[in-house]
Amino acid sequence: MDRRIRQLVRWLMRDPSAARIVRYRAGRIAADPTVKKLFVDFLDGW
Amino acid sequence: MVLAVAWLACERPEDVRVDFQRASLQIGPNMRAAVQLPEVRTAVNGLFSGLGTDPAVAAAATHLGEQLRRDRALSASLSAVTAGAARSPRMAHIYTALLKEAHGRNVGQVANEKVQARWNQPEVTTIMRAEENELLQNALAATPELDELASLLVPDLDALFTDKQRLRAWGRRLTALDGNRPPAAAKATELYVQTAWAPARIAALVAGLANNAALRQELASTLAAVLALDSVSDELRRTVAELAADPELRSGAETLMLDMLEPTLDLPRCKRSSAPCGATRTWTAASDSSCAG
Repeated sequence: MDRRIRQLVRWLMRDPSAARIVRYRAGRIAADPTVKKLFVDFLDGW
Repeated sequence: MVLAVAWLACERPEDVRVDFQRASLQIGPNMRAAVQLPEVRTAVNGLFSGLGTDPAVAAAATHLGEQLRRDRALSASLSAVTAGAARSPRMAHIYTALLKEAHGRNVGQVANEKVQARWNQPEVTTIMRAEENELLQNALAATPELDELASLLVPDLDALFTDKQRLRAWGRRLTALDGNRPPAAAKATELYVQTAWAPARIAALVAGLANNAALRQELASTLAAVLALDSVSDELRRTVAELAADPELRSGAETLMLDMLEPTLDLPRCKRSSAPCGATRTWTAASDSSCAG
């Protein structure tokens, strides 16, 4: 079952329609200031 | 990992150099250790559970489920699971008890209602969600395509990792960690991995992301939109058909169906214990002789 789920995830990442949605939403996540802050705190807070 | 590559590959103050090859080997085990920590598991379980109950995702999943149910080939495969359970010796007891409770109603319908009600009980949903989440996490962790996704999530890596003020601060930090002397490359790499990429720090980042409201909302919108695609329902149909045809999974589904029904029925009790006859997965026809009936 693991193998089939991995295949499904790979397929999703390659399907043009699904990939377009994923790219758009990923862009919105990346632009969110609260998400950015998590990354910056991780980079600088050690 | 992407962050480490970007930082380690970029230009840094000459007095503090980090060996990328060595660091990348050391970061991997830290990441694997981090995802095993309870706070990460709790946060990721919460993320997946939240996605499952999001109204838009639930509506898209229901619509998709209806499409799958209408698929004749798929119905045949799923009916085979029910038929397998019906042939099980454990089913004889269950059928008798169901008949007693049906009062003239369709026995299959009564069984369906009982499984549905049991499925929604917290002790079952907790176990099932944990199993589903573990399965998903394992599958996702082994999917290299997710690196692509990671690079989409941090598109301004260059700006983050070429900021001179930041690089100087990192150099000073590594120097301070090495007793106020600029460490050599091997030592700087070791200190950097141990400190910046410590499992606890990675766990805090992952848990923070999994609990982030904006990220959760965007993921729910992504999932709802992707589930609504025709190409996705076609692919899911193929996946479910393939899984339903797997003998091992089929046998597991049959056992699960019987396990779900048994606690809901007033079954004959065994003479040697208070457990209902057939309540264990290892029930055989031979053990039936010990039942009070």
